[in-house]
Amino acid sequence: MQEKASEKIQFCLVFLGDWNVEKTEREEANEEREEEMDGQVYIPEGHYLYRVEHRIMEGDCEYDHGPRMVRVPALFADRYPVTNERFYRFLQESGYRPGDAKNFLRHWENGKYREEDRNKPVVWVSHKDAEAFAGWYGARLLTDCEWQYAAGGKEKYRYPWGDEYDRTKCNDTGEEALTPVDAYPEGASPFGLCDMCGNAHEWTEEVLDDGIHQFVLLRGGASYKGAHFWHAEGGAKPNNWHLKFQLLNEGMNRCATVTFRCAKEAAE
Amino acid sequence: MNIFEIENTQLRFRFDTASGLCCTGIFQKEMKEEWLTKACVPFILEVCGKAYPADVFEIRKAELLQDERDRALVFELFLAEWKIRMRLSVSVKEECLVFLLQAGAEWQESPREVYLQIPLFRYFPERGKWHLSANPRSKPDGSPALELHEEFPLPICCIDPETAHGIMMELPDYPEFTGTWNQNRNRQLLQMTDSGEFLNHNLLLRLQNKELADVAEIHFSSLTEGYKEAFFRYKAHIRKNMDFSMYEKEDLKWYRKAVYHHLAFAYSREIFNYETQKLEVERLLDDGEAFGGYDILVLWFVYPRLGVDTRKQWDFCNDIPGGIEGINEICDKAHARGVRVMLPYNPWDAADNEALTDVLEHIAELVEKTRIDGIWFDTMDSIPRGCRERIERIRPGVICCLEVTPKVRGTVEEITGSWNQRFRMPEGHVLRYLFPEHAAPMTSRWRVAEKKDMLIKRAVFNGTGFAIWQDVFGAWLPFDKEQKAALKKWKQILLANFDTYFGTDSMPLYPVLREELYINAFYHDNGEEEIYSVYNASDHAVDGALFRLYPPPASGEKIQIEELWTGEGSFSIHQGKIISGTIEPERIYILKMTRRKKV
Repeated sequence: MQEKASEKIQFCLVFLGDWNVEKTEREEANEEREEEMDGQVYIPEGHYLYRVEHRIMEGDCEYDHGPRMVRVPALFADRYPVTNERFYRFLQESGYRPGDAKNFLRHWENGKYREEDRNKPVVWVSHKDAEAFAGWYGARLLTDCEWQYAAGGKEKYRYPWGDEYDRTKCNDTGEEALTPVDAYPEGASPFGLCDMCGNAHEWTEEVLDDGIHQFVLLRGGASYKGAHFWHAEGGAKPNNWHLKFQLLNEGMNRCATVTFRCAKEAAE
Repeated sequence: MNIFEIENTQLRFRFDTASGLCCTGIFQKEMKEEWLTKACVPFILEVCGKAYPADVFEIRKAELLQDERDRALVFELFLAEWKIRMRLSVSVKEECLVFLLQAGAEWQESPREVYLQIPLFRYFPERGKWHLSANPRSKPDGSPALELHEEFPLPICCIDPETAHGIMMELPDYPEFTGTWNQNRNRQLLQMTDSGEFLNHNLLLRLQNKELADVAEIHFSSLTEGYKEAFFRYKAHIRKNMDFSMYEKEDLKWYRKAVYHHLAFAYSREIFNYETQKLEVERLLDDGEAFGGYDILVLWFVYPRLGVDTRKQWDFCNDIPGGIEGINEICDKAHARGVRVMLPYNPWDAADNEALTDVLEHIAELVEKTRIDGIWFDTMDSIPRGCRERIERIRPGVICCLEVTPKVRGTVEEITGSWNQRFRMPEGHVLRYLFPEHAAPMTSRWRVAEKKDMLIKRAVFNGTGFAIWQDVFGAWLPFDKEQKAALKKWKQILLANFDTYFGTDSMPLYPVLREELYINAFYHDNGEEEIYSVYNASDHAVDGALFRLYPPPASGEKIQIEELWTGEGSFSIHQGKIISGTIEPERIYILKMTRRKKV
């Protein structure tokens, strides 16, 4: 599986090379840096007109959904969501244990993922758990704006692979069962990030506080789709969508369908 | 013999068959008043654009039928041109005369459209004011000043406002057949909101049948004390065959006095502390003192979070702060302060393979494992069959509260409370007055500012409890200081006068002497105390005579008037029965009358 992933990195580098025919010195340097960064993709600095559309349920979504111009710094972003294997490694290396372990890695058995889940996105991790992971590696989560740019590219595709929905390019079965993070190489974003649509929602960086509530925006949608109108929206979602996730205690903040990926700002 | 009469103690119907069937009188015996100003045909049929009044029908039979119990005047009629049979009967019941029209047709090929008119109403006295079932009284904008209920349609009345004499008509209806191919057209008459539309009705009959089918049934009775008499007579009819034993259970009685509910949205600093990660129920209850105190908390942690993954509402009970034990701690802390706790049940959050028995088991398990006092049935106007019994087997006294007003009679009997989520004024819900024992606090999840003021007025106007809901699933819509103070004051008044507000008798749309006013009346069972909530819906003050007291004070009885809400104004009684005073625009006054024997 790891071999396949490195093949994809190479493919993506070629792709980036085609895209930027005349590479600047800085870009070449960045490419070198990317090779050094295991599993990360370089996203050049950019600006774009941000706009998000989603179903507003009761409770509203107190956030500026645009259109507004946003800047995305140059980033090295995870090509894939963090997998169970990576998270296990993190626990080994860091000794991290959450203060409130309710539902923490609830799908693991005897302190470890099941072998069949090795390369699936880690779930049952709260936003705090995700931040702890990122922090250990000197990274952070993608912000809401960054995530959209990373998924749609400069082209601002509606879905990571293009403007049309294509169920063969993402896990969108309606069920909770997850697929490996590299199961849909054709669903990669223009920057080469994979598994950004469906499969599992992704935490974004900001904890938003309107004075009475705290919430985080989830991105990408999930394979799972609640049956009823009153259920939170699920299913694979376009790049210009997010879900307001209202925070409570850690047992509630950890879900079977929420994962994360990390990024680092590239040094100028 | 051409004259046919039939009567009970109140009314006498008279028909003349000399030149076809004609109704020549509806006589009110007690007042010796003829209520039909002109002889007229009792019905007109319209077939293919041509009108056929009853007097062109061949009268095949006209007879008075009687057995040991019942008596009926029956006319059998036939329209040869279309082979349509009609039967008009007037039967005697203890409290009314039943005017029943039946029709049947033998069509050559397929049925034609046939329209029915009952012209009698047009010849009632012009002084009579119409109180329609769907619009017993209008608000200034013309819409009904009462929320109505399909299962319990109000009577249609024509009342002389000066004498309070009039005619009351009850139209039996079976709403479960609404919208289907049902021959009885009572529903159409019940749904009319404009007296012009009612008087000039033209009812499309479902006349596909050969045998006679009921097409209109009207129960006529006489009124001598106006709409108050009509409402209470109707209410007695409605309640006569209902079972209210659920409301009499000792272990549920606390619920009636738990007048202030609160929806506690867990994902909110209103109750949750993000730093300590705990639900702080004591702080919430402290804050509730500004409203006069919450009596029931609905602890809400389900929607809109359900659906992010496959966890169900039952799983969330384990996952919220403290899990089941956390819920019990909340219950204990609330109980220590006399406050009850309800948890929601969300029927839409069902597992794919969930059966009714699973739901009952889940609810039963929740009741068994926790010390909650009730279940709040989200989005529901009834509860799953067997649910209440299942709960009762585990812990009697656990109440069931519906989010939505019960839709059918059986639910009113079984479920002792629901929320009324409306805010308009001057308006109330008819169920509040038909079933005052059914706890129905008012709430409005979305209204802010002056709409919240209106909501408070509505609670005061209708003498109801209140569901305080400030955090609507993540939208913070708090009440301001003045609104909190108003609610605190209202709770004190409501509880201090509980037996009057929730006595056996209360009525909406009490008759007024000024069009600008709307009044609801509440009567203590001891016959000594009455409360009139008076609202001026206009933009100007109303001064002078406001309303009459029914009954007027007995001889040797003195009326003491006290205003409880504004603390302003001066009110007096004239001519022994007319209440006078000044009512400022868009304001509400609570007039408490105490009847005392003169010493």
